[in-house]
Amino acid sequence: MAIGYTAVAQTGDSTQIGHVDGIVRDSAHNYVLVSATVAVYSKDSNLINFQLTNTLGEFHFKGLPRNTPLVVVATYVGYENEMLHVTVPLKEDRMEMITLNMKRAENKLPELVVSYVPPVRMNKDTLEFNADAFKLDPNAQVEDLLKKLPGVTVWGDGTITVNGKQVVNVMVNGKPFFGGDSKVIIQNIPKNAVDKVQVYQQNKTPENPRDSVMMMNIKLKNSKSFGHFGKVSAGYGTDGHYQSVANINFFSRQTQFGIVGAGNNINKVAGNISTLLRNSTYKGVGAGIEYQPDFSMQGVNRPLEGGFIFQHDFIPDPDFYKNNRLTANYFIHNNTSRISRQTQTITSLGADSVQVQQNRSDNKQSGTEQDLSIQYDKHRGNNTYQIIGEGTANVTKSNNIQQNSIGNKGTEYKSANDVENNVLKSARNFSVAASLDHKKDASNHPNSPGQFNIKYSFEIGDGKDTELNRTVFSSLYSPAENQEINRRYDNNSNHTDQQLSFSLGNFSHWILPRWLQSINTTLQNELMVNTYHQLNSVLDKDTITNNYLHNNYLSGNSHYIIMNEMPALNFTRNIYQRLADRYNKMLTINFNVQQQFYYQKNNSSHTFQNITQNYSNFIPNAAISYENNQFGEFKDNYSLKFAVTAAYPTIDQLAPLTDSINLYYIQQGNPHLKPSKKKELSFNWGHSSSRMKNTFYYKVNISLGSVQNYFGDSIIIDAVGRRTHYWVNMGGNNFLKGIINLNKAFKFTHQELQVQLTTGGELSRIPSYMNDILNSSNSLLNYNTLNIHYAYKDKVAANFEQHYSFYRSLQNGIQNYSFNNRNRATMLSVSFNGSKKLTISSNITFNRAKSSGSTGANFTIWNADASYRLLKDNNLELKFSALDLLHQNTSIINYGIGNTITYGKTNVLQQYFIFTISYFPRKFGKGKDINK
Amino acid sequence: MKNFTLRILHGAGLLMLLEFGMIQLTSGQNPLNPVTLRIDPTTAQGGTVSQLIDSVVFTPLETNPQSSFGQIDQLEVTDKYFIILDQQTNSILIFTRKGDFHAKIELKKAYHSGEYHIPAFNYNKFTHFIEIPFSRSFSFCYNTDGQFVKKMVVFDFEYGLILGKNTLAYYSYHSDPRFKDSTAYELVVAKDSVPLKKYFPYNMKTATLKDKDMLYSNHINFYRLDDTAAFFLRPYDYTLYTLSPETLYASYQFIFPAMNSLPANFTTDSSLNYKRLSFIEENKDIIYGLSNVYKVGDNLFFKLLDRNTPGANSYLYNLRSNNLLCIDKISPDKKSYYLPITDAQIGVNFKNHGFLTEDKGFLFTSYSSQTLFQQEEISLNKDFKYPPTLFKYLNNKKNARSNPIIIQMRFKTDL
Repeated sequence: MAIGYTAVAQTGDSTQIGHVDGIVRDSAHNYVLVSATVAVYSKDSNLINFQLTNTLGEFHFKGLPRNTPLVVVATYVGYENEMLHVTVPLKEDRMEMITLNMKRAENKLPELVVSYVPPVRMNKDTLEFNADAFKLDPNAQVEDLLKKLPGVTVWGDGTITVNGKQVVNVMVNGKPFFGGDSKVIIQNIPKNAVDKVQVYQQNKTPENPRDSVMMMNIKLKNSKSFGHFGKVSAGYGTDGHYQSVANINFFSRQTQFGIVGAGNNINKVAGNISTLLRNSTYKGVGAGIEYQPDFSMQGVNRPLEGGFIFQHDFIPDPDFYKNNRLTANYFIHNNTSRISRQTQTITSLGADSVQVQQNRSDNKQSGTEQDLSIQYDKHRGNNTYQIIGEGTANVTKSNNIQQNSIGNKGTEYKSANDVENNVLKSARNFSVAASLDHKKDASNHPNSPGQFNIKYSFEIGDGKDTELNRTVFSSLYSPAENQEINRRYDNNSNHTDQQLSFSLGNFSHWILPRWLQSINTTLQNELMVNTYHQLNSVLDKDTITNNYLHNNYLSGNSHYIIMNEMPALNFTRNIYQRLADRYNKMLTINFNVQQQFYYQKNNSSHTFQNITQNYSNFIPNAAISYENNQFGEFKDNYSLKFAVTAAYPTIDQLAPLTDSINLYYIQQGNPHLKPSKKKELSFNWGHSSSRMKNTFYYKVNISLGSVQNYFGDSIIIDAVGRRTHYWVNMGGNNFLKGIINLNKAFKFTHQELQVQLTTGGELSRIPSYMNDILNSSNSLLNYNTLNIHYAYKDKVAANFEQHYSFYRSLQNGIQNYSFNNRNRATMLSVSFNGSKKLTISSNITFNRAKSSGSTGANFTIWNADASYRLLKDNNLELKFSALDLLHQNTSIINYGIGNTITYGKTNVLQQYFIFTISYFPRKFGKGKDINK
Repeated sequence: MKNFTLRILHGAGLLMLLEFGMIQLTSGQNPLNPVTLRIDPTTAQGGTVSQLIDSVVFTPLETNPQSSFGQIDQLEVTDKYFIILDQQTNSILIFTRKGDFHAKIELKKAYHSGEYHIPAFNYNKFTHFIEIPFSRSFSFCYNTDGQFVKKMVVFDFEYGLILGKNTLAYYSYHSDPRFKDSTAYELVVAKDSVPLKKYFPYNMKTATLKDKDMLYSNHINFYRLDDTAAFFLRPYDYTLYTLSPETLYASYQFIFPAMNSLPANFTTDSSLNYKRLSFIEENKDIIYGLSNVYKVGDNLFFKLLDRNTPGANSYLYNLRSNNLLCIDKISPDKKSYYLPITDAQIGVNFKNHGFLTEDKGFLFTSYSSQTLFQQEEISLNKDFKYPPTLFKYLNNKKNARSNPIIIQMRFKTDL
């Protein structure tokens, strides 16, 4: 691994101009020691600066305090530490060259020799930072340590880079730690529990050493390799607002177990266990930008969530070559929400301008979702096994009241549709998947195609929906068309999904002439068989007799089967160009020749739904990629991909049972619908600087595509605003998308500045028919986010974020009508650590939304909080938060699709004040560590 | 040529030497007793360039689109030229001794041989041809201007060390239970393609040391002493032999501390069959062989092979004073313009290849220009002057794409 290293001063001050120069020698053997670690400490053992000696065995320190006793310590593997006490005289800025003569540590283990710990060293291919060498606050976490390490950048978005390369995995003692989220690791583990931070590159495939990823391992001190940490927190505030979380995680050398539960009525919805763990960290409530209640979330939510996470490693020291691990996750999510919304949807029509639909709805929903997954992984030698079992069970109950009215712009409404429905849904799924991956032993069987991968999965599930729906439709112009429907649905379904996939090869030595054998040939196959059985019972209430009568059309049963078989032959050729110590270049050309056989059959009690279809499509894809790694300078990746994919009409698109209960949306089928075929060309470009200082990387992605036989919408709107939708095959659906992401960090002695910019856009053309007139919506979407993160020591963290998005849709055909909308948000947040105990933070967001046909909305959300930590280990936190101080929060709905644009508002969380007490139970190892 | 990399390919055709039935067998007896050298690597001394070296010359090699190459895998030095094999670009490059580009041989271009990689080449001092083995039956000959001369039939001898006009020595070892129960010889000297001498017989089927127990990295058997003599080394053997067309004898017997030595029965203990590579991998301090042996006056240079990759491994032993010096630990000073004489401490060239060759008392190594440029910064505040060539190179051609540089040095004789 090529990890460069140059010394970086940890502290510096323009008034400190002392120089200390010297040389490290083994005089008994008459040579200098190259790459020995030399560190300068103050009298009270605080690390001031450190370097590795150069090829002359020399070190040169600048910017040291004068007239201050200093200790210069040299360390080198296999040698006893050597130290010298020096003081740079006040009158001079430079001393005479000093010599540190080191003695070999005979018959001692190298690890035992070191008493003054070297801050950094290269241990073979691993760059190791010794945590004990960095003196930080006793309550510092791994994140604080990483920020001190030369070449390491912890980005505002949580990404960690080392010398510009992104760290893909952060491990603890060589294992994933509580799901592997780096934030859980670096914000929970105290710096004092860490022995070393190790950075190395791991090869993903041993046969291709360049296919490597950057890894970071947090090696804990032996005495700290077991313990527990967590958070218990409760808060109560104005208007009955509350929040609570309880999390405790236990770990030992081989086993990890964490349990978490949370509940609130302030729109903090996690949705999975890792988000809960991520937001319950000890450090997370410090100077960072805090996890906030989601003010932009629609409605008011009352989530109750929890679960556990378990991991057991059957071998204590898994690595790239061997692994034997069982993991299990359980999550239960219960939410009660209420969303009241009011929207206006403008649809561009034919010659008589636009139609405006007003919608007012009130939705109450409660439900529980449960998910249990168990995974077993084993990797040994050339074989990797994996078995995953998963079960889910969901129940949802909802009540929805809607009032809709439709009219032309500037005129009164033509019709109204009021709906009330009550739904009870439940579903259960169970799945099991097993895979085996075998790498061939190239030295024993160089010509055999011995490499293979096989995966099989099976899922079984059932569902039950009960719905009561009452709809009242009234027409202003023709009261004869008024109708009231009161309908009851009892739908039961069950399904099975099976998938078998394998790949085998390289076959080149068998099928290709010798001169073509550098092409890697693999045979791949994917087979999917899905079945879906449905039994529907629908009853309509007779308005005269008040009795429910059987609806023969909507009731019935069906059995639907889909078989999807995709054999492929894949050809890959890698071309390398290398020049030692200068560059590595690799060109990869890949062709995937793939055929798709698609079969579907539906047997229904309604004969018009009895459909059998067979399709066969050629769906090739090809890619060309190029990597240019100029050592010490930069690494560039380019790739160009072309893919053909096909989409097949489902039974609901071909021959659905048309339910006319919602007269504003009547979906009709089209038995003549043909499969659509998408052709997409995409280009990716990535650049990362390999320079150690001021990390810079960017990514560019552009894709271009068109869909043949696009499943378009043909809409017929009658005089009173009733809409009927038909699926039709259409030409002329094209898109062009692009996104650019730029990241640059500037790291100074005490300050850090990170700039991240994302800008993207999408141009698309969506064809449709509107009352039999061909229309195409040409839309432009543009979005931009600029984020500037600034930190000064641990004292101040500031974040500035600017979002801007713009959407414009131009109709072509029915009328050249243009819609547009804009959303803009400016966010500034500042967090200030007044002392090690007190943190004050505040953030303010200016929002502005504007849309065609509306006056626009401006609102500002201002939040502030103050927290104070108590107890010796800062385990107890008292926090007062004031949210939406200006009482302006408004949730704006503002989006456009095709020839429609929707603008509206919903109920949201508004101003409240809350007081929260949190306790962080933590223990790493037993008692005091000897190294502390 | 001074050394020669003999690459034995697994699964290559077998040499059935018994077909040459009339060959006289020579036991390889030593006319003299070998000199015993007791080497404890931990006692090796270091020193500065001024203390140990008489003369050091840095020669940058011209970089242009035609002459650009990666690293030096094999180097031959003639009075006029440096002849360089770069396996990455699969080419042989010829530079003048001043570093100017002279010619280039690309086998692929000349013979449309597709994926064929040049494993090594021979410089024939008698014909002044560069001989590139292409298969076990013929070589291609080029002159030092890079021009193709002829295709040369080499019979069934693979390729070996040129040990005199029409005389060739080659090493071959193939042992596997699937092979025929027959006797073969590790070392054969042949004249006009007819075996003249055969040494170290073994049974191809039953020999305890199997093919899969052979570690081929750094497996170099011959290091030339003069036009008709060479040092010869066997795998897992601490004996240094001297080979001439007529004789083979053990010149030096190396003895290492017990913790660094292979077990006495390492090659014969059948319980180690198929486990020898993992044994070496697990016992990283064990010296499993010797390589890069050169003798200049009383100075014997050698490299000790072990799997302890970051450790030092090139040494100089003065046969008169019995002093042991570690080449990796020689620190640069004014005499070398504060530039390291090898990249042992900062790169991989010297670790992988050791001294590339020896010529007229000078030893040769190389490292990348990037390394040179980095090291130059270290000497910024020192009081010294670069020689004109180096000064010009550092000032005008500071380009990370530049070719490697060649360093040649002559050690003092009274070490």
